[in-house]
Amino acid sequence: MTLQVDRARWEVDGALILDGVDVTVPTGSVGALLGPNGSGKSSLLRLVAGVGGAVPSAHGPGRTSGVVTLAGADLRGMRPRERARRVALVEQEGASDVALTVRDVVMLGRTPHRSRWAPDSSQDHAVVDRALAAVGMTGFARRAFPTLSGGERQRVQLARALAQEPALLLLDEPTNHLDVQAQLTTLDLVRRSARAGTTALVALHDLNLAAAWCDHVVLLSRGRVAAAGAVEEVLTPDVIDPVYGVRTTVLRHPATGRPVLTFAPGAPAVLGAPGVAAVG
Amino acid sequence: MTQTVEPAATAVPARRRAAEPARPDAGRSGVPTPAVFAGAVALLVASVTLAVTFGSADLGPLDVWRSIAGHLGLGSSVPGSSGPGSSGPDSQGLSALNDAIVWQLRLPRVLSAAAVGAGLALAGAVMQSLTRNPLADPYLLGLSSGASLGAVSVLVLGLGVVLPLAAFLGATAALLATLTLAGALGALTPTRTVLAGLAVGQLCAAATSFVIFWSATGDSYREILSWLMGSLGGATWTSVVISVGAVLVVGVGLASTGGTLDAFAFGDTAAAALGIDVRRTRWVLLTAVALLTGALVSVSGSIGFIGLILPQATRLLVGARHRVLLPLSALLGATFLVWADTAARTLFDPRELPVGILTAFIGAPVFAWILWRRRGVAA
Repeated sequence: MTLQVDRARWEVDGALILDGVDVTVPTGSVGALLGPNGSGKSSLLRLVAGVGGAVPSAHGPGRTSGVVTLAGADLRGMRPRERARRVALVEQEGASDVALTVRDVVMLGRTPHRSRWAPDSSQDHAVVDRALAAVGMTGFARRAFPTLSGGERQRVQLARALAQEPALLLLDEPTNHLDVQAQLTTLDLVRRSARAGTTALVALHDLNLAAAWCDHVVLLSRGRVAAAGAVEEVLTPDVIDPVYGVRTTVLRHPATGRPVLTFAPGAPAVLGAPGVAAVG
Repeated sequence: MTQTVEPAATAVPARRRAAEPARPDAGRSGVPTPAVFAGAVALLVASVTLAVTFGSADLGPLDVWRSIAGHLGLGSSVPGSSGPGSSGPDSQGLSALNDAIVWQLRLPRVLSAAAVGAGLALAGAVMQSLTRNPLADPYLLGLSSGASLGAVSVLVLGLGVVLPLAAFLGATAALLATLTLAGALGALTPTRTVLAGLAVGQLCAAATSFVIFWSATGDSYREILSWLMGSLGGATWTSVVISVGAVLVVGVGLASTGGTLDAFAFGDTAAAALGIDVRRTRWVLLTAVALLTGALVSVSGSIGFIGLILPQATRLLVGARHRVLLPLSALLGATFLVWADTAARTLFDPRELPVGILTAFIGAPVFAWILWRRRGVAA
């Protein structure tokens, strides 16, 4: 189902965290959300997930506006439960000290699908089994969550998100703190669930992971869209250099033909400048 | 045909056996949940029965049930209704004195202890989960002291009828004060919240003492002590009605929110992303906790640390899934306070300890242990 974000805006104490952001991610594709620290990647994901106002920051939740639709349905106007059946969010690595088993954690994904007092149904168990199998963690079901490695925890969180049976998967820097193999495993899982129909929007720091795994790229800079479009169009020196303050050289991967980016120090990012005109 | 099936059928368990022992298992005791609950209920019933027999009169467990059965109209063993033989210490009936000890003195006290213990443990478990704070407890965050102040204030004014309501208002005001103060210091970290709770709790305790001291007609020190340290010495059947009623109405409601509280395991954002209305849930549940605490404190005074100890211990026993944790904490909390109160009234017989002294002796080290476990975590 296509995710469409129009004029997303988030204001906290007069400062704009998001300033008129438009994003489109077509059905079954993987969109990358790129940008320097503080450019608004996490905020945009939280706004789409509808959890923005739920968490008071030091300055209160602020004010959000904009239109977010999934397959035409207005996500922001939905009841939280209704929305949680369509949209799953995997946060940056969060708490690890919860005394739950892997299976318990994945079962949390069933929360929006059942009544508050209902016990785990056989359908819930079947969905959890499938989610665990999808991320290759079936053998870990009875393990205590805190005993897992960072990559394993990330896979469990992904399984929890899949157990929500979402149409849209939001991931906030899912490859942070993971070794190379775990990074690839995680993105491969996102790719595969996209092929099965789950649209994904993934915030990433590593531009090369976006180049290798994603279909579209949205580049944020200071709360605005600096560029958006196909990987080939956005991941170019003209677009990247002013936003990140680097000099980029784009190579070609000999096997896949996808772009591979290398960086050298460049002029510092032009902080006050408006975003580069959107490409594509 | 069977020969080809056999290896495949055995292959799966074999692989599982190989994979599992190498890993630390989170299945804890491995005892199925219904058995754990049945065990906890049996333990509570046995504890209540035995606790009633403890003390100066020579009573056996059967006497306890005989008295209960008699008063519920299930038997003919109530003195006066079973003929002239009942006045003597015969093997069949129960003497009027012993029946009065069981029915008028000990049973109300033991049942109140069970209800207060269950409710406080439940309140602690819910607060710990909602605030993601392992140190949260109605006593440590000032609720109990606020409830005591509310209760004492209306007693002074001669408005004993609204005692539970006033205790609820006191608990709510104290909770609001603690959270506001902690929030004003910055993010609501466990340590800041406990410090704020300490300030609010001490203020309420001082005000409680002052009100009693200023107005008391009898032994004000004893009265102050029983409100600040907690005591079940004055428990009557009215206490039972209030405390058991609060646990049945509010407590059962709270205990059934396990699925919702589980969703908070990874924090507020994660809960919101699972479809929980975080703000509404938090206020509804914290209000329910204040209501429960208020009702219990109006019966027992502020007994500390039960909301801290029992959920922690139960978590070690069965893990952190709230659907199991909440009801089991309540059952074990009931048993715990029944025994703590029995110890408080019999250890130094004929003198009686305020039961809060005993719970603090056990709770303070637990508090220190949790602090020590969290020593790596920022304030």
